[in-house]
Amino acid sequence: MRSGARELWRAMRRDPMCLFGLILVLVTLSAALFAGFIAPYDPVKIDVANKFAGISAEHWLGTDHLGRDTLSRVIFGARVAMGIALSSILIAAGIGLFFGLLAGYGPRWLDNIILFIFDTLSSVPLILLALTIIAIAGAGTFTLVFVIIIVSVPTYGRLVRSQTLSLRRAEFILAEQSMGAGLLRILGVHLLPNVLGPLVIMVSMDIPTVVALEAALSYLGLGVKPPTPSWGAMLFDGYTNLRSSALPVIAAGLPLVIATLGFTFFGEALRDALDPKLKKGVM
Amino acid sequence: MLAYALKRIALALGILATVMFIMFAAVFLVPGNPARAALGPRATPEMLDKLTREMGLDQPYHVQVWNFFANALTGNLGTDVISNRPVAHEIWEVLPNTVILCAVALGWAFLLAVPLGCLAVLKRGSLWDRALGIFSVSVISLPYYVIAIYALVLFAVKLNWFPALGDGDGTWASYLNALVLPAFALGFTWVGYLARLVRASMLDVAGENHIRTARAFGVPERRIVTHHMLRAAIIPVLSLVFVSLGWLLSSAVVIEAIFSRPGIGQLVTKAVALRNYPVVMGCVLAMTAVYVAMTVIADIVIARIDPRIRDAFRGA
Repeated sequence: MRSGARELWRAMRRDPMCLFGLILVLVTLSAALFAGFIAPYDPVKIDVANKFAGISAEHWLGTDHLGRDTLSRVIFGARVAMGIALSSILIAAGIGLFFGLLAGYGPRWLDNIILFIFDTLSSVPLILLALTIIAIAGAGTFTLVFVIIIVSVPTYGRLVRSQTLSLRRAEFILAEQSMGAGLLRILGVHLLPNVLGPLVIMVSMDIPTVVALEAALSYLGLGVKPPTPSWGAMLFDGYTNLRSSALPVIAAGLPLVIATLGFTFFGEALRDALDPKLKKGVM
Repeated sequence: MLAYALKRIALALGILATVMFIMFAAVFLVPGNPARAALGPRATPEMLDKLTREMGLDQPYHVQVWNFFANALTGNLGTDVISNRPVAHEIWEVLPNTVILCAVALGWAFLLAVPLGCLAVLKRGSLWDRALGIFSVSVISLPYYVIAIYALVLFAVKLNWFPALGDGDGTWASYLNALVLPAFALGFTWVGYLARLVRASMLDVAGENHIRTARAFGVPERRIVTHHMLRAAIIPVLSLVFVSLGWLLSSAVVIEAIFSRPGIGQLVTKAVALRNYPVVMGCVLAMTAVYVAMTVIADIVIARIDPRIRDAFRGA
């Protein structure tokens, strides 16, 4: 991992886009972590007398249709976006890891069943799968996390499965087996560290996708409930009041642009630095 | 070949049936009666009883599943609990709109991306190639709905060039005019994605013998790129496009909601908000069927074009 960090540092000096990505990622993460200190106002405090205020020294990004400070809402929105994205991706990666190892190392019939379930889940177009779950379970933050987990598990599971499959016949695994190593030892000590690297890369590249999915569902009114400042919900509020002022909707789009671009450029550089084999990949 | 095709189709039908089966099980297992959800909190017990019977929810689970599949096979997807119209009819009405939007978006993206990808290959390693790479990654990662909303603010609200909502007032000119912004926003991501795909697939074949031979014979580089490399690269590009069609349909759902454009997306998002189960299930079945059918067709066509895939199957 140390050489990985050095690789990354070298890549950063070589590639300005990586540095650019890292800066955007740091901006987003610090907004999420220190929202309470950075934000100039309470993100849910309503001040109707001051609605649709333009850009000013008091309100850097103006105010929305209820007079709430847009900048503060954007900053607190980072906390919502990062909280939902990171927690659901981590859980999904854990579940994907479990089923991927099971499918890759377990008996053939189990592999077939798990693969069929993954295929079934990914054969429903993403948003429709999400909408179906929301229709059944009702909208809300928990459903949102659940939706992201369900749509992400097949991708992670498949990656872990193919890694495991390619390793299970490797000589060092055969050697361990012939020396009588238990299942847990082979899975935990040998396979896990080898599949973790690619999984970490894929997870980090998935962050922008998940942030965008969360905002899309919140935009459709099927995600985070008001008055919680979610970028997607802000986008919708701004869109509804577009004829009064275009500033809120433009301001709500900016953090989405910053976060998705940042994590994408950083993720690409991370991938190139840590796993040169994947460099040729298309996405 | 026939065996391969049949196996692919059987697998697709199995997946489709499983999707519906899981959805049914989920609706059945989750507490709360779909009839109650559709009627809202002010429903009287009599209304609830009547709708429960009409929706067939008083039947045992296996009867409900059987009825749904039997009906779906004959093209009957149940009745919309709110408008009381057949779901299949409602879907059929708006499906062409969604298909046109997707086709136009994909079309313009393809027409722009192929030359961009060729140019990147011709000048590989140049500043232009690098700029195109950054552009591609950027538009792939940018949320398409932010692009849609920004385009709407600029071109529909500020400049007033195109309508912000709907699909025109019935005339062809207004229909096309209303199609411009949604198709632009939906296709934008695909320009980057396709350009990247075209470039990568062409570089994959760049080292092959027939390309080297052509170069040794002094064929101009431009002709090699546009005639020999592009032809070999188009199959992998097309196969990946077909696999990504689910992504296109997903984005179309949100784009339709943004532009209030009649289509499957608008139908399903409204139905989800009202928890109108028959419509949600019908839309999911229809769109999943379209998507699965596309991937099957793509697989079969590619297996036909590329004998290696066919032989790999025979060997397995």
